[in-house]
Amino acid sequence: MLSEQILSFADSFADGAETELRAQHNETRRASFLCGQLISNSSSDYTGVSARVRRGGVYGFSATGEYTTESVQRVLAAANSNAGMLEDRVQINKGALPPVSRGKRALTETASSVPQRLYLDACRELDQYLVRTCTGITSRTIVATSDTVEKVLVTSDGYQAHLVTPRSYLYIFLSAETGDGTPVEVFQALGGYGTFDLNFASLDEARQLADQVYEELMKKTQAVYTEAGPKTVILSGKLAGMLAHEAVGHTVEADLVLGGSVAGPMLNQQVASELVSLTDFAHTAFGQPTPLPVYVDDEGVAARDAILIQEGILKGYMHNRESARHFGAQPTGSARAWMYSDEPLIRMRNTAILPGKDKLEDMIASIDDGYYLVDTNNGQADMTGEFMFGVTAGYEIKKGKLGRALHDTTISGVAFDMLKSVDMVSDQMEWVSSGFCGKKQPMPVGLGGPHVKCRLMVGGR
Amino acid sequence: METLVQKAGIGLETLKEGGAQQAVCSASREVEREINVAFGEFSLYRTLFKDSVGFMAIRDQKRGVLSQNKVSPEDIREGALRCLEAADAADADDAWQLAPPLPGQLFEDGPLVCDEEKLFDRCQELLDQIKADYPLILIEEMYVSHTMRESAVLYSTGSSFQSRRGAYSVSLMFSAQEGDKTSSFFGSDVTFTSLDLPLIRLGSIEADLAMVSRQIHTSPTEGKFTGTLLFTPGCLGSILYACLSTFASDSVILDGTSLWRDKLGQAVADPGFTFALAPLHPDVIAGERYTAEGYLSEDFNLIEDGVLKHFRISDYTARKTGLDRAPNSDSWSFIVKPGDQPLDKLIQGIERGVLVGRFSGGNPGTNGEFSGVAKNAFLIEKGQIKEALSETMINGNLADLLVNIRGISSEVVKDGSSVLPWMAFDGAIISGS
Repeated sequence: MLSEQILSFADSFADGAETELRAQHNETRRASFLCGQLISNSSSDYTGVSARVRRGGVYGFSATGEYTTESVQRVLAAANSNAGMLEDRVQINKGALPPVSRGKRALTETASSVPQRLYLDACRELDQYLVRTCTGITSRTIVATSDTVEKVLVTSDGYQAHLVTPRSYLYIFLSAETGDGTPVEVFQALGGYGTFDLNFASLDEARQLADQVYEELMKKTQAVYTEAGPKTVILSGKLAGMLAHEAVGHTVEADLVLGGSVAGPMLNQQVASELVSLTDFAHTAFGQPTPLPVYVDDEGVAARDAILIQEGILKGYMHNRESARHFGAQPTGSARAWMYSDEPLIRMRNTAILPGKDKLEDMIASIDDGYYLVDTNNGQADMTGEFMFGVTAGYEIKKGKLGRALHDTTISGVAFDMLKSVDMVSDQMEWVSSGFCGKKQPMPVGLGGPHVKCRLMVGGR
Repeated sequence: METLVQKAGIGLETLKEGGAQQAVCSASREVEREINVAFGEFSLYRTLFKDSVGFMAIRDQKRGVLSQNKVSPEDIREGALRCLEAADAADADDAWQLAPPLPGQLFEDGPLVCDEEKLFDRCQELLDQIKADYPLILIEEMYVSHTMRESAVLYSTGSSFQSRRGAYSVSLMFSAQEGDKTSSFFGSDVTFTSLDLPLIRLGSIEADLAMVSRQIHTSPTEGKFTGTLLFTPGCLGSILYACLSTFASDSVILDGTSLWRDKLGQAVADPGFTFALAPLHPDVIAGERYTAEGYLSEDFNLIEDGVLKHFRISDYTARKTGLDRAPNSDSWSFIVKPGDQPLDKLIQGIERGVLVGRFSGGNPGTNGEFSGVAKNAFLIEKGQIKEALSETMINGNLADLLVNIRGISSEVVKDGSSVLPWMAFDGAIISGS
C-alpha cells in the first residue's frame, strides 16, 4: 500500500495558489491464451507523485516516478515554477477558484496483489472447458486482466483521501465460419469491481458465459447482413449505456461544452423523449454501489451525481472546479486522472439511462420490421452529437418476433434527434464496466441502461 | 546513481542468476515538457520525469514479462524475481526465442534538449495565425511537447542497444463554429525535430484548418448509392491500420482466421499499390530501431505492386506458423508509394462519391466488413467537391477496397510517422437518411 507521507506536505503549499498533491500506484495484470497457447503473460506496476498548482487561472504540473520526501518537494517546486512561468507569459488572471468543502476519506479496503499464476490458471481451466464444449469453432481466445488504482491525495482546500479502486475481468472470444467460409466472431466480458481472486473464486459464471458466447456464435454462422438505412431498433442495456456515455455524456462534459458542443445552447430545453432520464452516478445508484464508485475526485471534491437529462429536459453538465466557476455551478467531482503523471480532466463516472416501465417482450412485439441490437465493441461521438457504435451481436425483428442473427454492423445518429424518437424503455437495466474511455488519457468508466426502442441509422448492404 | 546500462545490467544478472536461459532487461528515462492550450488559451505547463525498467525472462521455455517504474537496485532485483515467478506460472513453449547476438549499437537522433522559449513562441504564433487566418476555428485542445528518451537494453545473448532520442510533437483538436452551429471536431498530429518552421506549416495542419472551416453547414446524404470513397492521408492511415489488424497481424495469422492467410506472393490489391512499413525512412521521426527479440529493424514492403509480400508478425508467430517474421515491429511508420496523378485530376475523375476526412466506425470483423460514419466529409459529384456532409454512412469490405483502387494522388502528407497520399476506392455503399 502507498505511504500517506504526502499528507504532511499540506503545510508547505505555496500561498496564493491552489495546490493538489497526489501519490498514485497503478497495477495491471494480463494473461491471454489463443487456441490454448499462452501468448501474453505480463504485469506492470507504476508508482509516482504529482503536483498541480494553479496561479492566476493557469496551471503548472509536474510528476516523477519516485515517491520520496525529496521527490515530493521537487514536484511541488517544479509545479509552482511551471505555473509561475505560464502566469507570467499569459497574464490572464482569472482569480481564485471558489473554495470547496474540506473533508477526509480514509482507506476503507486494501487491494492485495494477486499472484500471476491465478490469472493463468483461470484461463487454462476455462480454455479446457471451451475445448470440451465448443465444437465447430475455428478460434478461441481467453483474456484475464485486472487494473487497480490506489491514490493518496491532499489539497490546499483541505481534502485528504486514500482510495483504492480494483477491477478485474475475463474475456471470451470465439470464432467460427459461415457456410461460405466467412469468418464470424463473438466476444463477451465478465467481471467488475474487485480483485481477480475474489471476482473469480469460482468459474461457474464464466462457464455459463462461455455457453452463451458459443450459442450466439453458432447463430451467427447463419447471420444475415443488415440493410443500410434508417430503422426502428431495440438497443440492449449495453448499447443504451454506450448511448448514454458516447452520444450524450461527452457532449455534456463541461470542457466540451466550452469547446462548442451541441449541448451548449440546449440547457433546460427538451432534448429527448420524456421517457428518457440520464444521470452520471458518482458512487451509488438505485441503493447499490455503482460498478466503479468514485467518492472523491482528483481535485479533492466530494463526488456527487450529475443529473444530465430529466424526463427529456437537459438539466446540467459534468464539472471540474474550473468549469463550475465558469458556469456558476457546483463542481460534480468529475475531475479524474489515470496515472500519477496525468493531470485531472473532466471524465464520466457511471453514466446510465434510467429504467422505464416497459417489458422487453412487449417492445419486441411492437416492431414489424427492425433489429434487436445486443452487443457492441466500440463507440465514438462528436461535438455535434453525431455518434456511431460498432454492433457485434443482434437479431432481426420481423412481425414482432426475433429472427436471424446479424453480421457485425455500425449504427449512427444524432443524439438529441434520435433520443426524441424513444417511445419505449424497459424496466430492467444492465451495467458494464470493462472498457476504457479515451480522452487524452484512458479512464475506466461504468455505463448502463435499460432496453430502449428508438429509430436510428443502421449500416450495411 | 546508476547509469541506465548499470540498471539494465542489475536486472539482467538477477534474471540469469535466477535460472533464466534467455533474458532481456531494459532501463529508460524520459523527460517530457508539454504546453497545453484549452479553448485557444494557454492553460497548463507540465514537466514529467519518468523512469521505467522492463524484464523478459524465459526459464525452461516458460516466459514472463514485467514492467515497473521503481528503479533502485533493490527494486530492480525484486522486479526481476517477480518476472521469474510469472515465467514459472507459464506454459513451456519453445517458440519464444531471442535473436542471435549482434554487436552493441548506439542510436542518437533528434533534438535532445528542448528549446523551451522557442517552443512557447511557436505555440503563440500558431494560435495567432489561426485567429487571424481561420477565424471560425476554435481550438478545443492543443498539446505541444518535447520528449527526450534515453534507454539501454541488454540481452542475455550479449546484444545491447542504447538510444538517446528527442522529438517535438504538436496535437490539435478543433472545430469550426458560427453562432450555435458547429462542425465535427477534427484532430491534427505531427511529430517533428526542428522549430525552424512555423507549426502551421507542418503536416496537414493548415489544410485541415481550411477543411474544417468549410464544414459548419452540412447536408445529410439522401438515400443509398454505390460510389467512390476518397480518403485524405490522415484517414487513409486509419483504414490501412484496420487492414493490417484484420488481415496481417499476429492474432489472425496465428489462429488462421485471416482472409489473407494463404495469399503470400499473390495479388491482394491493385497493381498500383505499394505499402511499406518503414521506421528507417528519412521522413519517419523516432521510428523503431530494434525489436523486442533483439533484431535490428529494417524497412519492408508489406504489399508491393499489389502483391502480398509479408505479414506483420512477430518472431514468435513466425516460429509457430513457419512463416517469415516481419523485419520490424513498429506500430506505425506507414509509407504508401504516391500515384502519378495530382489530387485535382483524381477528383475530376470521380462521378459520385465522398471525400472522407475521418472514419468513425466499428472495428471491422475478421471478414473485413466495415461500416461507419464518414466524418469531416464532402460530397463529390461529377468531378467536383460539393457540400459538406453529415449523417452519412459508408460500408464496404477492406479486402475488396484494396482491389478496387481508383487512383492514388501524387501529393503526399508527411506527419512524422507516415508518408501517405490521398487514395480513391470504388464500390463502396454510401447511405443516408
